[in-house]
Amino acid sequence: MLRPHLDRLWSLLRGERGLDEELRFHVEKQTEANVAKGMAPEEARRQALVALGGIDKTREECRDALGLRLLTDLAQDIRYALRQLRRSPGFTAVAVLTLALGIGANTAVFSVINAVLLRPLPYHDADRLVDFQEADEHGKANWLAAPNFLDFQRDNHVFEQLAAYTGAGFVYNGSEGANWAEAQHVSHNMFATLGIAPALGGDFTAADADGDGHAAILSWPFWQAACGGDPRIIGQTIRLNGKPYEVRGVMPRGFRFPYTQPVDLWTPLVLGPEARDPGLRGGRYLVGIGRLRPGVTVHQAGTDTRLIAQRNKAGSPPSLRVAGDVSVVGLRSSLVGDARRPLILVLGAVGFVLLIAAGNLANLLLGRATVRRKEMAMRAAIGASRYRLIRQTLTESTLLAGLGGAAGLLAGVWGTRLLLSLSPADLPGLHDAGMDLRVLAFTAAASLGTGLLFGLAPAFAAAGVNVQESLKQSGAAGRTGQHLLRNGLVVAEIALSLALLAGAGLLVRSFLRLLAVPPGFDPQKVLVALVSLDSPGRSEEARRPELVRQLVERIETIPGVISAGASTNLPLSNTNMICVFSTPDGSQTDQRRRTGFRAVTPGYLRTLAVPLVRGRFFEHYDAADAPPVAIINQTMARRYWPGEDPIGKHIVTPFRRVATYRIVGIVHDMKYAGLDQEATPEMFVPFAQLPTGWARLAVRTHGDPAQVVSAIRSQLRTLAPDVPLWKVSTMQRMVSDSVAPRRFYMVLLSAFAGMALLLALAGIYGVVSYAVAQRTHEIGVRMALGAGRRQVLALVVAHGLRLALAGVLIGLGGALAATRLLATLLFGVSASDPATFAAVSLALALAALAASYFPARGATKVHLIVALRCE
Amino acid sequence: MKLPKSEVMYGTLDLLVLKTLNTMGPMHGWGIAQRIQQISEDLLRVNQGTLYPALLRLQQRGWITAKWGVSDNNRKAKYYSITRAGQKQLEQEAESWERMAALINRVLEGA
Repeated sequence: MLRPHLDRLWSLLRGERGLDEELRFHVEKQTEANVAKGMAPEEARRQALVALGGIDKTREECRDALGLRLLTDLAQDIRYALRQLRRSPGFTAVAVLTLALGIGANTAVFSVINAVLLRPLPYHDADRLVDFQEADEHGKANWLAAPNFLDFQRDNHVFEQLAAYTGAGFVYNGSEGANWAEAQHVSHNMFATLGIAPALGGDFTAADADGDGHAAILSWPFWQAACGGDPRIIGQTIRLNGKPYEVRGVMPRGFRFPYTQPVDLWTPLVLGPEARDPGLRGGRYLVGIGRLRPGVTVHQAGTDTRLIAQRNKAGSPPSLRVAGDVSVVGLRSSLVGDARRPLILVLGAVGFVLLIAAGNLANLLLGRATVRRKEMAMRAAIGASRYRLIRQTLTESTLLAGLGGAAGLLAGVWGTRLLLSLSPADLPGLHDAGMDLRVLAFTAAASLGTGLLFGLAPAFAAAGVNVQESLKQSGAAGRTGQHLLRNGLVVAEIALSLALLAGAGLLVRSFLRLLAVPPGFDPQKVLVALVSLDSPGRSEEARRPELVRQLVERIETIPGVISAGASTNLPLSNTNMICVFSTPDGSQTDQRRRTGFRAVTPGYLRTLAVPLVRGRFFEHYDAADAPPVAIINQTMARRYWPGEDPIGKHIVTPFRRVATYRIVGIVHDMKYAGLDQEATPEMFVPFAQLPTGWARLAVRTHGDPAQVVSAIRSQLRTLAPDVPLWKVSTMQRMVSDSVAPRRFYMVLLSAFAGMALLLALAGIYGVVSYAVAQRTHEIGVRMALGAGRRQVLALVVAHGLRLALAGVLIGLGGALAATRLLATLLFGVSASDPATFAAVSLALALAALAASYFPARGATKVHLIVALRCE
Repeated sequence: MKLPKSEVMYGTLDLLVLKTLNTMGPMHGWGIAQRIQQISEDLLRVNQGTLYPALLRLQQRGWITAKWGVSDNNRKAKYYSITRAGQKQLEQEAESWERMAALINRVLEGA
């Protein structure tokens, strides 16, 4: 009973060898019989073979019977393909390298997209999490006020949990002295909302919301660095701002709060009875994170909470400007922000590169197919079906694609690392980018897809083989179709390259335009740093102005320092202070105005080299007890005192100490928010008259700003040993960081456009060389008839130029459409900027010319006799 | 009258092979082909190539088994022999052929 199955298994294992032997035996016996009948030995054998009816066919039918056909065919195809590839190492190398380039670039970009856009955020059931804030009259997220947050938390019907956080920082007194810890105040249910519990110790409790808030949960890296990874720290205290905070727990390794900067520790958000004061409904400083109830959509959550917001607004005086609207956005979207579109565009661009690579491969394979058409014809003649031939060619292409894909995977890993090193820091999840199942699947799909794509062309060429024609020595027929295909592929490649080059060109121009924007100050060689002016945990308003003044004075004595100053906020720092003000003697168009606002030392504006337009800078006599004065920028002057001189006019602010400032100077606008942003109103007051607990130093030096850092630190230590200096950087670096995202996309697109160009040029070179080889005979004839070198050159180069022109013309339309997608990324340049398009088209044409030149030169060197003889 | 040479149909080839093996005992592929040709007096020209796939099929169905042996002139050859199941199949097939023939006869007589 088992016998037949065993037989079958045995046959499977023995494979074809048994069958071959059997058939050989059969043929021998038949031959013998034929000889016995009187035939000559050769005839006997031939008749025996004929009687058998074709060995290959028999074999195939047996295999069919075995049901193994597909598998053994495949194995045979693969072995054959490998052999072919090994026989032409040059071709294989070029093909695999081309593929590695295309697939590697795609893998790298996709792994970034995977990490930032696709992978779920590392929280429990992360797509139920939303970012929740109040919204301004334009619907833009505008933070939460504490009393409103408590109302939302209590009265909503849509959130399982609603938590809130705000940024904070502490001076942490560790073993190496004072250090800064980035922190966040979080509501007690924050980690429960995220669904991640501390790895050591425990979470905050409801009691913490009302207590003194002197508890802390540490992040894993901070715990390692500051506490040496000692688990006994749970229940112990650490000193933050001079006060003891009980360490409740440590978050797991790898945990990242949904926020752009890494956070060192979390303390409870204390929302005691004062937090419910309705007078604070306008004071927005919190951000909410909510977990939606099952089945609730983002839209529903918005509708439900909007009612609460409107109720709050109705019950508050208009002066508080309570928001009547909410902003509920998926957490991932809020973190990713504007990055989604440019990332997808980059993926599109790198997809183009892969298409161009596939085109080149198709051409390469077509060339090989032509060379091997005799072989193909032979196989067709002895019984290979057309289907089999196509399958064999496709197997070869797929094998090539597989090899290329494997190489591309390696290249992609390396490329991902490169991308990460270049990218701006604020893309969420970026640091985790790397190989995972999805990326692997993508690479495999890309390889197979590419393989099928470029494999189709030679496969059809193989299938369309005309046996008679191919077996003849000269097979000129059927080649025009191929010529069209090859040329067409190259034209398509050129068109795609044009689109990429145009896009890259536009981004480059935008970036250069951006860099050329005058920032309104001189960022060269200016050191910046943050200084806390109070002893940790104390509020010493009285000593702040004097401390700052002395510090600045001492810094200016350091050799190499030209001048120094301090301000509450630096330009391009992503920080701001805004105050509401009114102008009793200015234009009365809108009552409540807002201006950016900074307290600065007298030397600050001079240190940054902000030009004074009218009036004067602050001086030392603008002290705490002197009349309050202010300096404004041009935008503020123009907007609120149009047509008149603001000097001598007044500004009224709602600060508790000083209410009315007299304007004494007007300075040039600074690009405060970004080089690509419009200047907004700014107002400066003397630091002495509004001393905050911190100050940002700006120090202009002769040489490298980094050299004076230690000198500044020692000066600070002598003045106030318990005050740390951190966030040391240079103004130049801040300018650079502010344009980092733009630079990133520009570099990426330019790199891919460059790759595309190189590949397209290789394609042109290939096609033109091939044409020259095909037309060697014709060239020989022409030369024999008197054509000179120059004419032959012109002939060949004209071919290349024709391809380029066709590609450019066809590509122009597509490129114009494609660059429209870039519009939001551009600055100072339109998406159809004619200069860029003209330049790029010209460059492409010239490059194509160069690519055609070399085969052209080869053509002229052809020996007359060889050419005439060759067919 | 010479019957026109016809291609042997799928199923009947199986039948012929089984009958051959049943009558003649274990044989190798070539032998089977020769025998079939003999019996049919050369009227049935078996495409020898179709014999081997048929032998494989019969093996898979468990009606014959195969064993490698040594032929009369000391060469390796694969010998096939019919199994019990194969004999039963033969009986059944023979029966159904007879029934078919009887039916056709009745139809012809009746008409």
